[in-house]
Amino acid sequence: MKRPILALAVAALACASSRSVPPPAAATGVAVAARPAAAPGPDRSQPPPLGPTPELVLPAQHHFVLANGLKVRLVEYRRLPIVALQLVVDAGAARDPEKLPGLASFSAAMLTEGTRTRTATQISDEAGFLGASLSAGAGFDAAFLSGSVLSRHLPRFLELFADVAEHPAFRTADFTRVQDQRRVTLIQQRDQAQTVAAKAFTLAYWGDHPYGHFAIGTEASLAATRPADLAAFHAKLWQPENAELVVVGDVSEADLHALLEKTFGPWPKGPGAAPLPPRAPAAPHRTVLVEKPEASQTVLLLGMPGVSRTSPDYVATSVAFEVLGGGTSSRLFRNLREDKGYTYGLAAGADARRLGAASVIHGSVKADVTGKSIAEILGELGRLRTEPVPVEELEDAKNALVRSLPADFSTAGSIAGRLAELVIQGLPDDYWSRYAEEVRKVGPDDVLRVAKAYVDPARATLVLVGVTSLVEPQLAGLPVGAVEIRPPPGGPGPAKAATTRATAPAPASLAPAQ
Amino acid sequence: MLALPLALAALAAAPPPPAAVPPAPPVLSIPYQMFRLENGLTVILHVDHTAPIVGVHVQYDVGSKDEKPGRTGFAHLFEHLMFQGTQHLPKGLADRLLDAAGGEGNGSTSDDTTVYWEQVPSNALEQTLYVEADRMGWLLPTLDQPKLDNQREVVLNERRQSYEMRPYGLAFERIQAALWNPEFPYHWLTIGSPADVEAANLADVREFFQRWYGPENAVLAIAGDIDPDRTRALVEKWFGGIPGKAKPLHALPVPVPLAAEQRITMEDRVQLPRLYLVWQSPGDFAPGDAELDLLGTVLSDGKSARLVKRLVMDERIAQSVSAGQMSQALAGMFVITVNPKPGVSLERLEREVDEELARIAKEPPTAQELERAKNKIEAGAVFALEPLGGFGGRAASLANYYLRTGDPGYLEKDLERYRLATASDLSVAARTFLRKDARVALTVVPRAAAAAPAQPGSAR
Repeated sequence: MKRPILALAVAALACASSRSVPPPAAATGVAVAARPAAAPGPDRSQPPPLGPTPELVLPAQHHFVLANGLKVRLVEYRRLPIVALQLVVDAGAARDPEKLPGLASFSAAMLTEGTRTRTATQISDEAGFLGASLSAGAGFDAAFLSGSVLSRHLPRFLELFADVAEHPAFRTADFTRVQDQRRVTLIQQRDQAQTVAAKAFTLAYWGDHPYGHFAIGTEASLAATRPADLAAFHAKLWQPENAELVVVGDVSEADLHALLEKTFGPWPKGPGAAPLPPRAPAAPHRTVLVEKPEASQTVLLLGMPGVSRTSPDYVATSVAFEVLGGGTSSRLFRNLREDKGYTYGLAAGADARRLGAASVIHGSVKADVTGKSIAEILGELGRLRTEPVPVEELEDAKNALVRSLPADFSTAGSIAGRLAELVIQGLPDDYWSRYAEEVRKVGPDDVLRVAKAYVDPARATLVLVGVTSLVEPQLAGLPVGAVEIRPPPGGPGPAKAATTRATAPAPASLAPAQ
Repeated sequence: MLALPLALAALAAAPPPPAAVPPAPPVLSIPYQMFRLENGLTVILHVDHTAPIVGVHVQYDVGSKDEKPGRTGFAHLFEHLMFQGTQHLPKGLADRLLDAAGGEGNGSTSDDTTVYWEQVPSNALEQTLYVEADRMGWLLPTLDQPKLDNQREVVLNERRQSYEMRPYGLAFERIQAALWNPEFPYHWLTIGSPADVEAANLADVREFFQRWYGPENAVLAIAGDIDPDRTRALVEKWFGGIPGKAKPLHALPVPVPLAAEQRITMEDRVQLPRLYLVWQSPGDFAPGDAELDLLGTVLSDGKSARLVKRLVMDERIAQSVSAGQMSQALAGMFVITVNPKPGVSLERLEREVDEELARIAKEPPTAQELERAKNKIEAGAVFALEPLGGFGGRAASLANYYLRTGDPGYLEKDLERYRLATASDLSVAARTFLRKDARVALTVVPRAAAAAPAQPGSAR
């Protein structure tokens, strides 16, 4: 609990996201420990085998619909007296008007800044008194209102939660305060090399796609936005037909249904919004260099046209990424960190959203080995596309994906997150059980096939943020397309970099800082 | 406050009354059993069969506070080496086993302590214990120069990524150096200085392991879907043969109080300046610790918190402000951080912060302010109980409370400190600990602006 800012300051150094796994090799040389010799004990020459795999039991989802059309899905989860809520609304940044990028995120951010009957301070105090959390924000595919609360306070909290969703006031005084905070956030983002990289990538890779702007907007769009724009956006898209409420925790369906009819029941029905059509990214084969003076590392973000979440290839692609850059035993970690020492960590994953996708590799490497690091990454991509993954390595990767599922469903918050993902992507209730079955069927040929389709360095867009005069010469001879040096991208946006398990900045894309 | 998130076990949740008036908080505890092996290893078990997963947490009672000047960063570098293979597990195999089992894991080092944790499906419990036992008993035979060289590079990259490349990332290096005397081990960052990390050699590594990494200096906590009898037998089987020795003694240095305000200016590649005000404060569970924690909440948590309301909401001269108590074993720091709006002088912000501190030192917070702060802490403790493994899960809570207090179940007593604190206690804490004439005031200024002569600096 408490104050992540402080925790960061002193805090523990997670050795995080790194460490890798070489194949079992013969033990190396022997040095001498001064400690007394160990007593003879069990045979340690082989690791003890795993026991029988626990059955994968995923929590049942109960669906019901309020009279006004608001869909609700509930998982009763009574391990602790808490409830997690997530209202998912089809009002994400992909719906930003071309002239006012940032509108979805700004609208969502104003939800907790005052309603018709509550001031911003009252909202904050009320949630604080209940010990509850309450936040709103927007990613590209959806906007969110999220909360968690002790179950004994659920009735009171739901009144607040529903009021905030339905009746934001967009009062001028609050609007100008938040507008200025977002402006300063944009200024602060210029210092954050990873954000700069994500923004440069957003512009270059997505181009004129609905994802090709910053969810937080730009300084110009922010200045041009008026309270009426936010109110109109909210009125049009924040309505029951366009939303689904995910609830996980210590509450029965009957109790919840009654509470919701009381709190969300009065939310007026609306027409909903037509879904946006998927589109291809611009995805130019190009390298964009952005200056970060005196940077001791280069931030690297490489993206290629990726697999759609609903594609039958998605599962095999997730296996391929597990092999390439999933965990500490993945190839990129083993090679670039544990063998070469070029980085603290690199990750790879599928950033598969509703309207388009990217295959992404990202991390930071020591500045003077930027070129060598890119060469190694390209080498690993090439190997994945041309050599079948050895059977044992493939089995490990598949097992990692399937056997880690129970842990993903072991807290109210994580279950709510998984359910929200189903809502956003339009996936069936039994998606994760079927996913496990599908993963088990993936063979070396499947990985080879999807790697050729979705991990293609000849179609890669590469962004590098660092000391350009030091980095550019290192690119000579590398097949990274035309190299252009660009100024730091103007307005900011907590642009989404990638979605991999350990390192993805996913929350940033959902809840832009303000 | 607690070094780890206040983890409370709210097990056996009573059915929540659907009343509009919040009833009293449930009593939270993490039921456990504890035993000690002959070699000195302390073992704590907690059963929860909700999901087929187990958190395994090994915590060694050593951190960067046990380093010497000139050898900084060593405890953390050493932690990396614990992932480099052991006599029976060639480099990388432990990671591979963990990933393939569907588990996750990590390690971390702080000033006070070092942890290694895994969260795995329950069928991987024995394999995980085997891996941790091999680290504890059989690290040195295969630890060689190439592994050290490799992880030295990785750690230097970690320092670049998490400190040098991060805006304001090196502020605490300056703050801690000014706040604590050079012999006091919070004087340096856990990540260490690059020169010291470069200088680490294999002899240092061996000596460090032999001194600090025995079973006698460790706690093993296992939480989740386990059978306690079988688990105990597995622990005996894999850890029992590791020889123990006398528990190593820690130096318990006492910091030299600041005799005057220390004013420092540093430059960074940032758009906007930032102000830090930092005081020496009580350590874990010492008198004043909980009160300062509550005070930090009253000052900066929520839109009506004193500093937020004035600087961010009403006058709008700050982008954000935070205030809080960070306590550790030997001492704590109370830290206020202010991010100004562009064009607002840090002098004005500092003056207004000082006015608010003076006000709360004189007039206690209202009953409402205090109750809200306490409710946040109580509720936060319940949410922190959710995970079994990981940096702040139940296994971590049990092990950390044991190391700090000798009582794995100290959580309830920990919370009691907060429940008992009165409004005037908070004012007393502000008066006692947050004195203007005994603090570090660090100003971080954008590089270009720093060309002008800065405020007189007196870092020691």
